[in-house]
Amino acid sequence: MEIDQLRAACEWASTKFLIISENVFDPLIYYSHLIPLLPALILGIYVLSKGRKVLLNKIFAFITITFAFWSFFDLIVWATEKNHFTMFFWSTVNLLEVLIYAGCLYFIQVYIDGKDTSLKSKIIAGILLLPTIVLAATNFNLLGFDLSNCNRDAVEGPLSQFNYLIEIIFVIWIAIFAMNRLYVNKDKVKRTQIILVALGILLFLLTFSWGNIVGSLSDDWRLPQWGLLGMPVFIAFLTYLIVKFKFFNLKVIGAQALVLILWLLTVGILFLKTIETVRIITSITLVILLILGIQLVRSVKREVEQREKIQKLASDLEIANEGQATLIHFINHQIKGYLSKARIIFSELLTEPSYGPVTEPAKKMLETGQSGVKEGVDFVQQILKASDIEKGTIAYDIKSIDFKKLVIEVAAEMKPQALDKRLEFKFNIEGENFNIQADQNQLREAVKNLIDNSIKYTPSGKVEILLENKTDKVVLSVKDTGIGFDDALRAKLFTKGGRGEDSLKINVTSTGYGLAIVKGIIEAHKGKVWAESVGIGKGSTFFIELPI
Amino acid sequence: MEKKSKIFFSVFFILIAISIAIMAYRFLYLKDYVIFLSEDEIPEVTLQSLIYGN
Repeated sequence: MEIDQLRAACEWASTKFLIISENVFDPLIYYSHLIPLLPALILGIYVLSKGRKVLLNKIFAFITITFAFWSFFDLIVWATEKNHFTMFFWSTVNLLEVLIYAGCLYFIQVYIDGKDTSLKSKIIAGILLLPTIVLAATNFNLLGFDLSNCNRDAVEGPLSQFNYLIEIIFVIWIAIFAMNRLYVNKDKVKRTQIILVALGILLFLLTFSWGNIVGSLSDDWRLPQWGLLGMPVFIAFLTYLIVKFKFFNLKVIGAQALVLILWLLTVGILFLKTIETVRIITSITLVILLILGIQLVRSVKREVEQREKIQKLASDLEIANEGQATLIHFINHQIKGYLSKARIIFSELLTEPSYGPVTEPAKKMLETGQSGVKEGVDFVQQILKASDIEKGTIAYDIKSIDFKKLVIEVAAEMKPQALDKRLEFKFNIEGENFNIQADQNQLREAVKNLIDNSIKYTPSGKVEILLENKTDKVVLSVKDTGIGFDDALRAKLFTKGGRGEDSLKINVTSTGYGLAIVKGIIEAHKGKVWAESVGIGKGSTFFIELPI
Repeated sequence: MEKKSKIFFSVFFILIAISIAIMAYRFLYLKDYVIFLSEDEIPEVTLQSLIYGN
């Protein structure tokens, strides 16, 4: 009864959503808790999502999430008017606090050594933490609730002092560990990273301890609120490490980090009421903006310089490539000229009687020579054609043509080649009207290349050609029982030189340019070309689709 | 992470969970704690007093 009367006399405000209450007399308390909590939670979850199985990421997430709980529970203690809430959350806060220190020690050990720490080290830390964990729910932690003078505080027991003691031990352990590794490590970049991580962690823990120890000893918990801002300092150090050294293997640029920090600081100002605190926070924001702004400007400048350098290199490379392409084109033209001359000579020798009689063995030799030269001319011709298509220097003479007639002529022309290889050669037509707008000669070459490709890559079996009229388009398919292809080769089929590893065993004279030429010509006619195959050795079907 | 470390962390986190559960049971459910109505009732218990006695 007496307690209820005293509580009523205190006129504590009721709390909404655990933390919103008039009992929190200074808005700075919301600022000091929520502003460190948000970046810690965001970065912790983000880091964990990028490497859920990486030990360092897991430890960092543990620290930040524990810190977020600590901040939130502490805010509840500030806001609540209920004694039992104060007792529970206060005792939990005491437990979480030491876990943050232990987490920081584990974090720096794993980061610097690049591996999990020894079991011995874990057991020592575990023994230090054991009294805090085991006695957290006892009177050693909290003696009771202080209602005198409407204080709304828990009375801390001896365990809280023990907690401060082991917090100091953890801080000293971290400092000695970092200094030892700094002494041993000679790599400049690694040393910088060790200094930054150790400095970030120690600044965070020292400001955190300072806040709590000063609050606990002086019973004035307002000033120590600034100690919580140690977490954003730690986050700032880590952000710098992420930007500079891809810490946690994260790729974050300075601009992203700066925008996030400024957003959080600006949102934080909404929690403030008095102009004095706004001035303080704005000053902090200005300092952060100045430091990170300079870093950002430097980084943007560097990126612009790099981009300009890359653009210049790309331009130089393009000029070099063009020069090389022109040279290759020129060489090919010259070779084609010499081969053409040689073919004429072979032909003249074989057919012109004025050169005298040719013996049977010599005739066979001349025919072999003529055939070889012809293959050479075709080879060079294909490379030149593919090059012209790529450069877009081919002029298409578009007229209305009968595609059916064209395919029949090409099929008739190719049939002997298939029969020579003892392949079954079938040709079917389905539908009427195959009139399309096209360049007859170019399209003839495309169809010829497609059928030729199937014949050449089919050692035995058959080649079936099917021409269909499908309302607003004509589709030509060439199905064979040849070498087929897999998904890896599918992507390369219609590119220059895009032939399979086994194709040369079947067709030794292959240039690999035939299908690239088909694709270039068909696409210039606004058509489509594609191929299907169940797999290697299981045949393939090539399609040409052209609009009517 | 080696097997012994996994066992260590399993025990460690189970202990923490049990500790928080006991705190919740004691303070939130049983509401088992002393309420000091005046400053005179608050005992001076420190680490030193526990070690060396009052």
